[in-house]
Amino acid sequence: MYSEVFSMTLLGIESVVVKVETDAGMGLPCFEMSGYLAAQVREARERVRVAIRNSGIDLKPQKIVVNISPADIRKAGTGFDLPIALGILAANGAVSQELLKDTVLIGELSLDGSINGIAGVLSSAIAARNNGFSRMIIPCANLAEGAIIEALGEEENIEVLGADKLVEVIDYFNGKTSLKKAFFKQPEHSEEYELDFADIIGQEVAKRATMIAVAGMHNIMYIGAPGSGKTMLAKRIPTIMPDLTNEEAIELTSIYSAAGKLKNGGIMTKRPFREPHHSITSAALLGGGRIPYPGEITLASKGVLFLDEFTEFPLGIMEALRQPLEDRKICVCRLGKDYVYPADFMLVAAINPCKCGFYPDRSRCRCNEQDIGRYLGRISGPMWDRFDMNVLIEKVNVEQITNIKNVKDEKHQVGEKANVIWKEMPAVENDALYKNTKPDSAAMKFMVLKAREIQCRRFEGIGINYNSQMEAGHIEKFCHLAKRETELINNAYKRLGMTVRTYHKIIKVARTIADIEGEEDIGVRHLSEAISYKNYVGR
Amino acid sequence: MDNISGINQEDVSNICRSRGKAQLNELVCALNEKNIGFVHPGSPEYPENLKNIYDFPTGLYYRGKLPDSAVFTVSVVGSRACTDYGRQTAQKLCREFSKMGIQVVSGLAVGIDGAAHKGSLEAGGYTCGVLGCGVDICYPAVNIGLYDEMCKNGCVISEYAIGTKPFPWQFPARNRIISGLADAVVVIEARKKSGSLITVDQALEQGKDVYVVPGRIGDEVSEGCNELIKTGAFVMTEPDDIIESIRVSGKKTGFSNLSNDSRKINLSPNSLATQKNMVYSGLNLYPKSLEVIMNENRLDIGTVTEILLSLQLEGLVQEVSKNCYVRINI
Repeated sequence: MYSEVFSMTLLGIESVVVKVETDAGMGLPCFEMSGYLAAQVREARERVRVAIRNSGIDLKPQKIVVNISPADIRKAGTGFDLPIALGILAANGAVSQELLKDTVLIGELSLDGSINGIAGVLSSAIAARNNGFSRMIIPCANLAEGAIIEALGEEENIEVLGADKLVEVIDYFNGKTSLKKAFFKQPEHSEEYELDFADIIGQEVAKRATMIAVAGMHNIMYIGAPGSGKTMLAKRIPTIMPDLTNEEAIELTSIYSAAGKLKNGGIMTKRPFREPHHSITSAALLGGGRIPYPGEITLASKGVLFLDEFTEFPLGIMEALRQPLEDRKICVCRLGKDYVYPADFMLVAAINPCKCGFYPDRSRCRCNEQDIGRYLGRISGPMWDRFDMNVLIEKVNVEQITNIKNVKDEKHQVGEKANVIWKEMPAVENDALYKNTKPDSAAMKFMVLKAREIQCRRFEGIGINYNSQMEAGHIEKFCHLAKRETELINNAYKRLGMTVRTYHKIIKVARTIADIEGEEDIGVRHLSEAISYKNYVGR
Repeated sequence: MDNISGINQEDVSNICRSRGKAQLNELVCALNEKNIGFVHPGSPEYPENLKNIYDFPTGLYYRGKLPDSAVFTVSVVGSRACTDYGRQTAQKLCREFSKMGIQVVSGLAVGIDGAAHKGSLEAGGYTCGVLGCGVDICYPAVNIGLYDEMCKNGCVISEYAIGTKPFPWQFPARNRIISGLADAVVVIEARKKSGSLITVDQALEQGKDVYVVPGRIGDEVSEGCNELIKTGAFVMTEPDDIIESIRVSGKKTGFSNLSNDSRKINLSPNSLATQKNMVYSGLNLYPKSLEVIMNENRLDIGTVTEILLSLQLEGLVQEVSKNCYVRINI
């Protein structure tokens, strides 16, 4: 007898519907499978047969043929075990085919008949809903993930059911029992970050630069001696980024779901921070493999990609980053199919000022100018151009470390210092929380949100979101420079050896600084500060 | 020669060739083609100063105009990995030496050497670079700009034949020419085991005056300098310090009135506006970072960057490394 069951396969981070066709009948007893299958799918043969037997159903010897169509899409993953098992059972008449017509099944089987969790459940659920299925059965382990579909809030929603054992599914289709239904729990947006910018002693310039970078989504390069706190700063960037919106959270969750990296199964509430080592291959960074798998740049979407010791990354890998940085997505091309992954991340890189790491401290650094030039020259000019901001991370001296212990006694002094550096802080004086304290993540996030709000209003209906995305035309429109400012930047252009690209970047960064300070027009102080973050190539 | 064992036919023909005039002519042609001159101790152009040293070179290849031994000449030597303090000092001193009509000799290396040549060329003076490789090779290649300018307005010389590669053992040997050409040697930023100290040893053997620019105690890059001061070298803190040597040598310079206050190294505040003056006064020849400048002056980042930018545009301050600033044009 013939049966049809629907399932899903992942292509990139999106899923497509596949049909599992089964025929069980006369012939020499065997189990044939076709449909462009990866090895994991072929192995389903043994798992399914044993799982069915261990679920208490004895199949008579027969010829079983399973085809998964469309046959021109490569199928990988272990989610096909459950639909194949149901297909065989339906073909044998052990379950009713009535409900199977508008049900999608995914799940991996164990030999004892229990169902294990799989990757990519969220995108499968989205695809199932979009294809008009009314029901989806997934492993119980993925139930929280599958429930996210409810958060999408569409009217024609799909019923997501979880099953632990094959027997339960069989009974369900035969109308003997019901399955566990998924319920979406709105995650509490509590600040769960354990890190805080307040942990960092000194480094006020670097903190401010980081805040500006986040506010305008500018890529930033930290330059500093070993142990000066570059990594510490970078790790705290997600704490000052705006909370994930619902759409962002779902996109992020489906990426992590497709990569099988969803930790507790539920929706992602934190922005990712990815920190690949410099020995990474380009396939691992960009995404790749025979069946493509999302790379680090995709996993860093909506968050931070931190490349420590950037100069140690192979040249080819650095250059490969350029295109996704422009397009905010990566296309992994394979014979027959192109896989597009999102890559909407903020790039943060850290380097030492020279090979030994101590320049310009000549009592420790013996690198001559050529050595320094050669070291920094490992990063190509076009790659330098991808960084809107460069900032020095200075070594914190011992007085600063000891001073911090007395902070509570000298609250006044600290407050004064905070105001000196964070000129804008008094502007939020309504909020007692931010007054006379040194900048912590909460205060910085407040400023970032303020600047983002201004950008949001500015770019309404234009198709860009951040100052860093402005093109030349936008700059002309939104970054008006008065006479004095124009003179300053033109003078700097001539004297400091800038390129046109640097010129535009400076104006974009100046725009963000003005936004943070709540100014309508870009002033000389904003431009000057932006110029101090300009490109750093050689001496 | 055919009967001698151990040499083959090719060697024999090479030896025969080297005895003939043909190869000499080839060499002369090659020199002429590249616009390179050659002098030997017998020729009248051979620098008089070099004849007075014990191990003078038997031949000199040069591009440009050979130094005039009748004019007072100073050699400036120092570290390749120098600080901005050293770089600025070397540049300033040589600029002033050139204005005084003194010839400046150095080694055309990176660091102090390069700064010395640069300072001298800036003031339109004569400067001569002694190479450790063939005179047609610019080593290090980054100095190609200086090299070209010196071929035009100064001189590059070497005792090595054209095409000789810069092998490391040739550099200590060329140091004797650097000191030999000069009447006085100025050392700026020498480490404890610096090549510059080799030059100083040679200079003392050759009976030249040695001047040392002092560094801070504990600055590794100036340890050799301070050691020299301890053992009795002259201290140089401003260009005019050299005048005593000029008087003793009795040589001429291009400058008649040797003492001049404008040459003094001046780190005192000038007539800038108050806040700007405050920031500028706080800067010196050692790099200071943005954060330190902000904290010292208790100014916010917008103001400080604005001041630093205008100082940079006025050519008073330079950003030597990311967000690190020093004074220039002292």
